[in-house]
Amino acid sequence: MQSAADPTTLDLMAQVIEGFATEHDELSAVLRPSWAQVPPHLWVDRARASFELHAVAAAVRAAAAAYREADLGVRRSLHALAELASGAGLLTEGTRMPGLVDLAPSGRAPTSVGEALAAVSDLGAQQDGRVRVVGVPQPDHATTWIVLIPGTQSWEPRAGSNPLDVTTDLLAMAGQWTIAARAVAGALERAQALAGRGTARDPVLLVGHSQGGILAMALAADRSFVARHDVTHVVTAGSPVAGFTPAPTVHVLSLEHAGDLVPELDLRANPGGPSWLTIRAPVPKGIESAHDSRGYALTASGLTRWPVSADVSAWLAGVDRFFPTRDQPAWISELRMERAWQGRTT
Amino acid sequence: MTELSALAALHERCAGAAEQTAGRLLGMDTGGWRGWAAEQCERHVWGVRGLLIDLAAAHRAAADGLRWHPDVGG
Repeated sequence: MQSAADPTTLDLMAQVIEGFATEHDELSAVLRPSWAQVPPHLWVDRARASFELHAVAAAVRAAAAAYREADLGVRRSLHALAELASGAGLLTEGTRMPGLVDLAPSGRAPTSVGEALAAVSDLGAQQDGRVRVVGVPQPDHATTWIVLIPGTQSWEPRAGSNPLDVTTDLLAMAGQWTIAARAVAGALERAQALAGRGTARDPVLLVGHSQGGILAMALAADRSFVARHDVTHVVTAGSPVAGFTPAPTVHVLSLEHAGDLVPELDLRANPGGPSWLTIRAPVPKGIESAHDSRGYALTASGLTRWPVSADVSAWLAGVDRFFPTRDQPAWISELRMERAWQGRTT
Repeated sequence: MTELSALAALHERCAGAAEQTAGRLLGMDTGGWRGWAAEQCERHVWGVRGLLIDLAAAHRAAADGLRWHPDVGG
């Protein structure tokens, strides 16, 4: 498991090296063996070691500063692009509202993270903006909820009725609130209403591929949403989500395939730490595109079949309760999300 | 402890810290330009670690009244 090269970690490392550099300076000044005891080159090398320790600390600190600048730059650039495009009537949602249409479920409840991502892939193949919500009643009278969110389906620069489009990509990555995110939140609440269950204490698992992962993280980082729903886990697959700061109680698992450029779009690695695991994996055999959602489903299935590190095992054990066993009932809702005009009934 | 032994110990401690730092940099995500930047820092740290280890060995040898040559080892 690799940790993220984030500015805070690098700054801490620079601080440690600087501490040693200072100790080296101070002790070298105090400890002065006689010239006779020490060959002349050692005096020179000792001064060089001191200089190099300070230089390393400065280099690590400079890397941290560069990372910070780049992170800010990405958001600024996306904001600027969004403003520019909206002036031309592109990549803007205008005054439209989220709409939801109930559909007959097209699949069953997933029983693992791999199956959840396979279901996300199937939802995406339908290209109609649908999401699936699965509620599983628990022995303690709570209900766990899984929300399955597919990736981008429309690449038209003008916002259409399907909110899973490039407009949402741009706005969500720029940190703006989107109709798609509001529609996903609405889909969960609609499913809870249909099931006649759902409280703010119910655990929620959000699973998304590509843009679906961006929307999942946008919700996990939204104070209003996490006040209404106890988001405990998020799975993102091939999503550029490093710019989001989810609530500290949210446990994130991010899957990134080698060669998939989409998760690199934010130009930064995901923050590390115990609550956010990022797994970089090779593209599974038989899958041509590194970004293919089916490939991510296979990678996730492999996590339960192959030996994994203790933190990944613990993470997977944490989401077990979301998946129904054979004799557990589950409520399945499927809803089509729409960008609707104000006043229009959907 | 003589001053030379104390200096040897100081360099060993600093080399240990450099090694730990290099290890953490090595363990960082190597994707994209961030990985490249971390790798550059890592190489720099390994270089400094080598210098510190040589210095520690040289001071240790001097403390024992020996001449130390980097090609021979401490």
